[in-house]
Amino acid sequence: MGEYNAYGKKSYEYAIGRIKATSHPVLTGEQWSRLREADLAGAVKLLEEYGYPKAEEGETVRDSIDKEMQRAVSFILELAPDEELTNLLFFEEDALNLKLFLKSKLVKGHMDNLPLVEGSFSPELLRICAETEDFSLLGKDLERELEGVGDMEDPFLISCTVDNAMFNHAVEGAAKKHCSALKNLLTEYGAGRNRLIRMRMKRLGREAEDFAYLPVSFSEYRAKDDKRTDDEILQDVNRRLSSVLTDLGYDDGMGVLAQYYFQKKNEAAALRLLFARKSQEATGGNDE
Amino acid sequence: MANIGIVITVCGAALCAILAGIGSAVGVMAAGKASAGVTSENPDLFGKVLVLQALPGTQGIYGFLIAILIMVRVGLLGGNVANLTAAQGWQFFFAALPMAVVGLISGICQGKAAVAAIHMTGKQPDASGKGITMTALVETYAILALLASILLMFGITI
Repeated sequence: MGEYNAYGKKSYEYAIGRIKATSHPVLTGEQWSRLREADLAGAVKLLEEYGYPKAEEGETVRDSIDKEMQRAVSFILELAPDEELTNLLFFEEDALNLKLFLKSKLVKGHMDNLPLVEGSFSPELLRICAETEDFSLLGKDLERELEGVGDMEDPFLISCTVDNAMFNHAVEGAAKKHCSALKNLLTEYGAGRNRLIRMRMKRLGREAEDFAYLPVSFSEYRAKDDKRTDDEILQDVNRRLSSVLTDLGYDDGMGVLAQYYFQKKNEAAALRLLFARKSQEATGGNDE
Repeated sequence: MANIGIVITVCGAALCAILAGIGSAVGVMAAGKASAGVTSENPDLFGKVLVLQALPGTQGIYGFLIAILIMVRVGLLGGNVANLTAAQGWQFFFAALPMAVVGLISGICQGKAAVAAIHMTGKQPDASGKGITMTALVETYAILALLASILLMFGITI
């Protein structure tokens, strides 16, 4: 209800103002170039200069990246005018946590020390749902989508069902809230994911089952992708997502929050890859 | 019978002050929220965003000015109230309308432009001058409406 409060502190004008002026902006192209060119120690130092938290003793640069991502999530949640809408951004994190609980139950493992990530649903709630196989606490649409997932024994099927349910929940939630900016972003993101899934399956010489794809149409890309190389597909997926993210920057509402979160998330993923490669090079491993 | 011309004239003056005031209040409120967001992250930008926040406030001043001028013109402030016909009253009413309507709309629009400029300043503090210029351009139409209202008002024969 925050967005309808004309006098409240949590308005989109306020939230966007904070994001635009934040001291933790997304890395620029020039900063990325410097990071790529530096050696491991130099890149770690540069990352600290760019506002990432310093790794404590016994921690690695990966911990710094994780901390920065946690800070970004807390920052967005703190200033979000519409909490319900903002929670939809974390559909992948919720899916990951639920999958961990369901698969842990499947192998009769302990659920106490799972590598959970910060999402919108509390881990305790997801754990109860997984243990009791009752998903009504997550809302009617998720209860319907997750029906029967407790009886599944194929981990791949569990993953796909949970991913699809959480993705659908996010897209439908954005549509219900009339947030076209978030809906467009999720649709483009889902289509991109589907194209990458298909590309990977083709590499393995297989055709993916229908349930492996996120429930968003990408038929318009199929014929074109058949004529493209993997690199071309990857570039096109990145280009389309970047284009949608850039457009979100001109939004005067939720779009800017979604843009910041997805850019930070992509940045964290790219930094993890960059530093993994640099660590490999530093230890004399083969970077290919 | 009460002086119907004065009643209509007062309605016009009040409407002008009210609508232009609402436009400015909404514009300044939106810009204020954006300023609060930017300033909470970077307090050094307070001076730059304050100018931008103040810009949509001028419509309210113009509306107030027209209301005062009308009151002076018909003698409401001087104690010697003119005896106006209904036709003269409507003339004053419509003379106030340009400032009333344009003040309302341009105040809100300028507020939106100020919000965007404040966000731009938050991202690029050196671009605040450009933001002020862009926001000030909306002011042109409020000034034109102010001139139209003044010229119309002084063209009325009492």
